[in-house]
Amino acid sequence: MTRPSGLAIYAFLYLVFLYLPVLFLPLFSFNSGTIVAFPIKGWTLDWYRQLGGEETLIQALMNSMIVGVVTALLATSMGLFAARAYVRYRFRGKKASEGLVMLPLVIPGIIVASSMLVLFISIGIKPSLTAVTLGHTFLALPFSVSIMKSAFDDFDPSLEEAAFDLGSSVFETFRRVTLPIVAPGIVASLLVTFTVSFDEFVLAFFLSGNQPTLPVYIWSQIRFPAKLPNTLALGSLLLLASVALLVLAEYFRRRSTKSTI
Amino acid sequence: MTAKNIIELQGIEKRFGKFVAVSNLDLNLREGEFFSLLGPSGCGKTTALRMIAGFQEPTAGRVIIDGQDMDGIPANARPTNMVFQSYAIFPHLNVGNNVAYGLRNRGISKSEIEARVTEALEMVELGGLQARGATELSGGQRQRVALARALVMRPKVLLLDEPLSALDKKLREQMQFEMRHLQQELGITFVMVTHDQYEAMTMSDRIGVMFDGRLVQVDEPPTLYAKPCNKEIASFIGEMNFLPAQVNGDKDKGLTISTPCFGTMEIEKNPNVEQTGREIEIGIRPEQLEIAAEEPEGYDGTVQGKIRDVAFYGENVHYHVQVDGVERPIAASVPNYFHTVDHRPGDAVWLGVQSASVIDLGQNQSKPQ
Amino acid sequence: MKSETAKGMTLSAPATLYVGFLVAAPLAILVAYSLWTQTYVSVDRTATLANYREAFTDPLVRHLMIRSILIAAAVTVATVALAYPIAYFIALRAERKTLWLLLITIPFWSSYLLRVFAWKLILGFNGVLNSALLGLGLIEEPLTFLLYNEFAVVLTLAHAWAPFAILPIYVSIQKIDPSLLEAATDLGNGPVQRFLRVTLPLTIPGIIAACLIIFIPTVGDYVTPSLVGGSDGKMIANLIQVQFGAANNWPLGATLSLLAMMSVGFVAILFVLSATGLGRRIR
Repeated sequence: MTRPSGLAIYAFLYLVFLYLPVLFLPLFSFNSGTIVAFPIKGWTLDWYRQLGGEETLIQALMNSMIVGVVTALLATSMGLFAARAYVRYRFRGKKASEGLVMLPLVIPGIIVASSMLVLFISIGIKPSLTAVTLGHTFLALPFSVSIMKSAFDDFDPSLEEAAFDLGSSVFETFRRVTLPIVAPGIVASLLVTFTVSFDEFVLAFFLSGNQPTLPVYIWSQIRFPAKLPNTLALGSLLLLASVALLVLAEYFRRRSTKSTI
Repeated sequence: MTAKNIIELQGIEKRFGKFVAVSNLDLNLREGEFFSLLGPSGCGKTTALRMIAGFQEPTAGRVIIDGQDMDGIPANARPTNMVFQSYAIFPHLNVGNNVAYGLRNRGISKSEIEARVTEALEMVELGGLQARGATELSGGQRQRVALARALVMRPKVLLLDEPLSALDKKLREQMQFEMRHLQQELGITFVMVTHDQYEAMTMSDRIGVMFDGRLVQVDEPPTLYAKPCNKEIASFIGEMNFLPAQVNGDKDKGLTISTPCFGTMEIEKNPNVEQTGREIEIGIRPEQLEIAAEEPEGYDGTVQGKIRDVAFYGENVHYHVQVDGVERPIAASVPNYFHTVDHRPGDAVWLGVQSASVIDLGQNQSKPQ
Repeated sequence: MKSETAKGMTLSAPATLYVGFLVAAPLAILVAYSLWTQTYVSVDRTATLANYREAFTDPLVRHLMIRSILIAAAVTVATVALAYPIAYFIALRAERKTLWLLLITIPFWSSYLLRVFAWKLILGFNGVLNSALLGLGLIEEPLTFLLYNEFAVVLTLAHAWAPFAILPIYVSIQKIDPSLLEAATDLGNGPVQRFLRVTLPLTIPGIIAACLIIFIPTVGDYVTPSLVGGSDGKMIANLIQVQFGAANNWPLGATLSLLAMMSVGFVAILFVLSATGLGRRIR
């Protein structure tokens, strides 16, 4: 078992393969040359400074924030109730329901995007931030449900029974016992669903109309070589934000699984 | 017995970092015997078994199977097969393919594999269940499949790791007899690891008792029960009353002792314990004590006491008798011949013992000298 | 007190209905649209199979559909083959499993768009890789086969999907009772045989899950072929997008979406059946 395995070396190389491409973005965002190639000409923060002056960018960022926050709230509240039902109760159609809410994970993005566009137009919702939010909630729901399921999994139902037994009402039990215990799970779900929405491109591309979100804005900038350094700087900031949110979410998720001890 | 040794463990030791799981273990197993390694959990018995199987390498010492040093020989090339505690039935294979699993590694013809699988399944009374899925088996059936799968390989030694611990009590007792019969029919050496003293005693030709990585005593079950070599074993196997005693005379093979309740007696000296000092401890099995309302005659030691508790076990009755000058009540057990409980709590009774039933357990550890 | 069924159904209703509606309604409307026809700016609502006829006879559609499925298959095979040893390593060898799993998943949380973009920069004619190789003197002139072809698409997607392949396989390896592996050794298997006869068959469910999770979305991927695929790497999603965008032919776009979905479903079912069948034959 302790022989120094080729597997460990392979695993290390695989990590390099996973991380290296992503790390080129921040690396070249500090490059003073405008071409993304070695050797690096010199170091600069100019590209970051110039971002502040881009008004469409600021607007796109605001759009993404709004969509992200509303998506996180919608997906997490639906996920919270659904996960509780899946973990606590046995009911007819449970398996089917559990499978259905996971479906958004495996439908090809282009099909979700095109079919939602057609649907929203048909029922009178114009491409807009509302449309994007509704779509993102759909995409984020499986994430919320699985995070909340694991939060409820570690939650001992006899705690609620004990609260009942000690005289709490249903609502009071939920507020004073259930909610505080699964709170870290809720925070983790909010952060993850926000990130899912914040990074999502294809659906937003189809549904955002003339209100671009940040990824849609980046997409429009990728085509202009002159804008490349700014896009790199923006992308690096986005990467940083996503990773920070994830690490925070992971922290809360772990707290949620330890909190029942 | 003059049967040859099928397994020789020579000074084997296993360390995990600083922790010593098995220390300096010497043991010879005879061809065709049913041997049990008995001990509490964590005593190193499973580690010892896994070193024979080849799943763990000893840190020091040699494992010799059928005259061949096993150093560097991996588990898949050893002439042993194992019945795992969890049975390890392959869930993706049916019963027939589970049993045939090992034979398919040996380049044996299809028809012979089929014949041997059929034979093995009949041996464990699962004849005709080849096509049954592994996940559709009951606990007892899984155990039988595990047995058949190992025995079909015709190993020189069959290793069994707590083979009955996953079964309920009734099934466990039935399987004890079945496995014993199987072993005697096949004449293969069985080495079983168990923490259940009754299981070890009912099934084995010989038992090795382990504590804290050390092999403490190896004997046939009746000897082990009658002459435990120290207090650890005496308290682990069966029930035992422990009493302090003083040595007054020390001859070649005998001791003259005086006890606080049974007076002076001549008992056999235990060669396994150090006889330092005059304070020793003795052990008496509850069923070796006579209990009666009148003073019993013909006993080497008698004492009067008072019944404190009565526990009815069905096949016998246990009395706890409080005796003056003895801290803890003395337990005496009587077979339930006549479906009566003769004494009640508070009754005055007499206890009688023969000196042959008194076991010398060496220097008294429980009392400061 | 309400019954468990009532409580469970009530609590799960919002999520179920929401997803159910957003799966079923668009599907129904897609079907409707696929039967209509577009004439310039107006939609003709007489039911016809014209779109399907067009889709089936147009060699470009067939070509893109087949290429999408082949590329997705290649991506799936490459990703799963690269990921299996990692999953195996984390489940059976690694000492700090949670750390490894976290390390594997972190890159996944960066924007997918940005990761694909990064590959475009790396593989380009004047890109990171070429400039580095030139600088080190390993090549005389830039390599041209890196970007704008199927290879670039497969490489980029194999990178993007890594955690989706690793996690389900990891879970299935993790679930194997270690004594099963010991039993295989005890019955005479060497490490390779043991892997082929016990580990691999027991992880087939994980492999199937990983394949589906990768294959299905990949067939309909839009970003990667657009950014790194060039004209040789275009896939069906690009054509669908054109119908909803520049070409403004929604009925044809809807038809293509439905056909893509059906082809994916068909290939996926075929794959699951053959993989499970293959698993059963290992003894």
